[in-house]
Amino acid sequence: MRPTERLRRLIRLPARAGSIRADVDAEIAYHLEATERDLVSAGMSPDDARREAKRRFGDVERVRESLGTLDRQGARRTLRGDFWRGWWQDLARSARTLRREPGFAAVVAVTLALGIGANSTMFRVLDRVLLQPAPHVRDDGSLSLLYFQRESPKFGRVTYTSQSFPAYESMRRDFAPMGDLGAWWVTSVSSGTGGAARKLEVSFVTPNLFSILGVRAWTGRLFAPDEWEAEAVPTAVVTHEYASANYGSPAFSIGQSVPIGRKTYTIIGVTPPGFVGADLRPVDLFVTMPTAIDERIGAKWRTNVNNRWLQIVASRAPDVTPTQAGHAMTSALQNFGRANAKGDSAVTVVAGSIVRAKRPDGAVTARIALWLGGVTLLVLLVACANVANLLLARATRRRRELAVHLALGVSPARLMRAMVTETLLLGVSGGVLAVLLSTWGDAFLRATLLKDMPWNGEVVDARQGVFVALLVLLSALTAGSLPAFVASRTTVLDALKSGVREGGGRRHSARTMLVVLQGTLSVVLMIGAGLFVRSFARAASADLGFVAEQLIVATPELGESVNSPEEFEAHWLRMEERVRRLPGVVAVAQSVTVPFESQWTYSVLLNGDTLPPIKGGGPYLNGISTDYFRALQTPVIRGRDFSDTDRKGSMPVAIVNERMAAVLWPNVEPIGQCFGVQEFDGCMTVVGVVPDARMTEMTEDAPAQYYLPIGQWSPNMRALMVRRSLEGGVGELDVRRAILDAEPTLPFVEVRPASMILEQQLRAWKLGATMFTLFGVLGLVVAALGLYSVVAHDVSQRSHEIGVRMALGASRADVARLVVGSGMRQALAGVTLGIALSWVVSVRVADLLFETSPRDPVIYGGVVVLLLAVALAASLLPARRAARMDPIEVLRD
Amino acid sequence: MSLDLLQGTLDVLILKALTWGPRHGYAVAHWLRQTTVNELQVEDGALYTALHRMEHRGWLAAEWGVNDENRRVKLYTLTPAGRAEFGARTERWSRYVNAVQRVLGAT
Repeated sequence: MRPTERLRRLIRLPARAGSIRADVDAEIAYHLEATERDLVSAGMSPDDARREAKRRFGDVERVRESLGTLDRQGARRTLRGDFWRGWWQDLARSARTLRREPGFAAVVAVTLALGIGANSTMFRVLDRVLLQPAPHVRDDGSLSLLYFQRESPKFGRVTYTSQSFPAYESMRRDFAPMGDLGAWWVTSVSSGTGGAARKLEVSFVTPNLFSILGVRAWTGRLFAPDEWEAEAVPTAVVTHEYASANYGSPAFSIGQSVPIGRKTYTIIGVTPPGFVGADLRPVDLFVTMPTAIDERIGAKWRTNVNNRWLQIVASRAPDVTPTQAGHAMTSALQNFGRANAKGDSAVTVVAGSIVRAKRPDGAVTARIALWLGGVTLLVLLVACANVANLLLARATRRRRELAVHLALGVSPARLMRAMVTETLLLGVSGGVLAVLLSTWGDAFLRATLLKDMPWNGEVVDARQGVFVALLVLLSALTAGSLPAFVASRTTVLDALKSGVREGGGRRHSARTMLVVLQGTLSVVLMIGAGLFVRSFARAASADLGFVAEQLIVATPELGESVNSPEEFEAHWLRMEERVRRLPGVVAVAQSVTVPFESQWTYSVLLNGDTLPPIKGGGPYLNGISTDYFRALQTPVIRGRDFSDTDRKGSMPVAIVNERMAAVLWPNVEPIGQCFGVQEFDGCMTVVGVVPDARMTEMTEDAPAQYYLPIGQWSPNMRALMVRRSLEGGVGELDVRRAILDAEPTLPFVEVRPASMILEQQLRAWKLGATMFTLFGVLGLVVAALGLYSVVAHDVSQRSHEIGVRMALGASRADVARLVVGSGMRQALAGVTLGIALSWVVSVRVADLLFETSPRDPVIYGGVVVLLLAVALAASLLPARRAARMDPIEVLRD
Repeated sequence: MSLDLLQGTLDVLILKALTWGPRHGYAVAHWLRQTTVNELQVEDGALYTALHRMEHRGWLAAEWGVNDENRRVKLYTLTPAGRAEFGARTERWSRYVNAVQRVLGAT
């Protein structure tokens, strides 16, 4: 830029509309005057001269107008140019300054990266679970998942998602002019037999489901909307993941055959990667309902109105709102109910969001995910506070430099912009780092929270990219605006006047505030961590009423080869005996239900009356063989265990748990008492009492339970409970082999340690504990760094004052106390606020905790001690430096 | 076509007028009138429009100064870009004239 041009810009910059018009007027007026004067001096009369001047000029008004327009445009262009050039200069300058302070830049970028990375990872989960429909499902607002709601006097409004097939067909027929319905049901099905058997997740679908969801074949073809009847060779559509895993490439899967249950299917097509249907439950393949459903639901699945198993999705015509669709289907279902099924006549149908987590009664996954989202946001806040703090410290350090700028006429606004640019640059580097970090975060989340969720797509998708960009902008503005504001308010004279000696002695209240804020948030995070860790520990060590270690659960499925109850029992006895012969097996028992996986309830009658609801639930019923309590290591505390004499035909007997005994016969000896069960004749005599056991859910209260000998109650649902000796030796594989040895034609035999089943029950607490601890420690470290930097900065700013104190006789201990005291005061303020905040907020997670009060004094106390200890450590370092200062040295400077 | 030519020509004339140093609008008009002895009829208004247009195009720089009568006048200066433009235009013009000359002078 040439000097004259710069000068011109400086002079002309305030080019407002008014000044432009005045300039143009002045220029034209001068021209006309000058022409006139020349003409007069050439001998023309003044009047003629004026006319001639105007004639020569042309249309004065028009020219005036067009000059004004030209100048206004030009001024705008100039301003715009300056604006962008300014940004560019700021950016270049920021990059230069930051390169001079790589340590500072790195700390800020990493702090922001941790905060943003945690949030972008969490966003991906929330986006997947809460915001978007399942992968490849039409997202134009025309789809609704159906929910059914019924008011019940006992439980209030009950929401459920499944419906019977006849009800589905009837609703579909009546809804037809407004759209279409499709349905599906996912279940685990065994594929193959014997050693080669596997478990597959199969979705039984109506053939129109794919076209309703708007999904196209990746390769091959999908079911045609009317491909409904069972074919001689039934066909299956497989997911991209299943095809890739089993046939190498999706294309190779077409035409291959898959055994499912009794039939063998031919694969006709592959769905796109990630597609699993309208829900997020993993699926291996899709088959149409008529081909195999009768094996699972029963032969009368087309007419049974009481078995509600279908999930339903509706596609609405463009002008039909969800409310209208809901009304239409409600009246359809109620008509159907009045004619066929009483239960359906009072049900309201809700056409809800296609995103399952937005179900009308709220989903637990959604709640957990939202909590975690909130926690990660806290981490970002701590990070922002820390960055703001570092920037403030830096602004203070650069006070004189800034003052010089201001003195040279740079406007405060411009200075502020320059500083915000700097923060933005830091934020962008943080964002880039964050994207790298979130690749790890992804893997971590996939292994923990989303174990059962199909997860597809790139590591970072476009939505996540936009989110990260927004976060960068937001956090840069949050962290950068306060320091920039403070810096731009620097008063020139003060800053230039105050030398090292005066040291700008005033401490920044803004910085103290930020440190307190960080302390507060860390306390909240740490208390969250404490609550969940304690819940997890309590739940993991809770008295289950049985010993899960060294217990193996086997659930073979006999399938279709069994023709009579006697045959069924014979098969099970054979398997039981074979497993018992394994060396290292202590006890084997048959059990109708599996802890935490299946329950059975029948209404219990006492003197002909049903029982009132029992706290903890139940009573639950289980049918067991004689060795059951030995296998589970549950002691029979009163009376006797079942024996071989408790069989069909002998006196009906039962063993109850303590709660059941307390509910039915308070303060009375339960042994010898008798109770009825609605479905059975006669009355069961209690022969034994066992301790309470948690076998249904990890709740704080154990439910009421009773046991019947399997000879007297023999439903064809069964599992083997295998207790192995502590020395081990017997593995799950040995058990499976033994079972297959006894029954070589069995479909897939599932054999798992009981601890694995238990682990799923503990997952929520484990996840909460892990996440809170991780983020809590992160927050604490960042907050400690923040406190350290503030105290250390204070010390360096007050070195002169400290020197004077020492010269006047203050001991080193006095000085150290002074410094540590100021650090601890800030920490204490943070701790107090954090405790107060947690006290109020933690009640909201009470129902996510296990046997832990949300206001547990031990946890609160522990966090206070921990935080103060960390704060002490963070202020001791600068205190030591302050105490070692040489007053003579300091005062001479 | 003729207007276009006229406009382009006017630009060259203005650039030429400013090669001797900063001038205000009236001085440029006066110089034009004297040099061409009224052969080229240019409305003064058009001259100003051209001046402003060229200013925003970056060929001219303008600043307000004071003349010898102590009046506020707007002075136009040739920028380096303007000087380069003038050189290019002059060369193009002489090539054009030469070419036409050759055609008309051919026997």
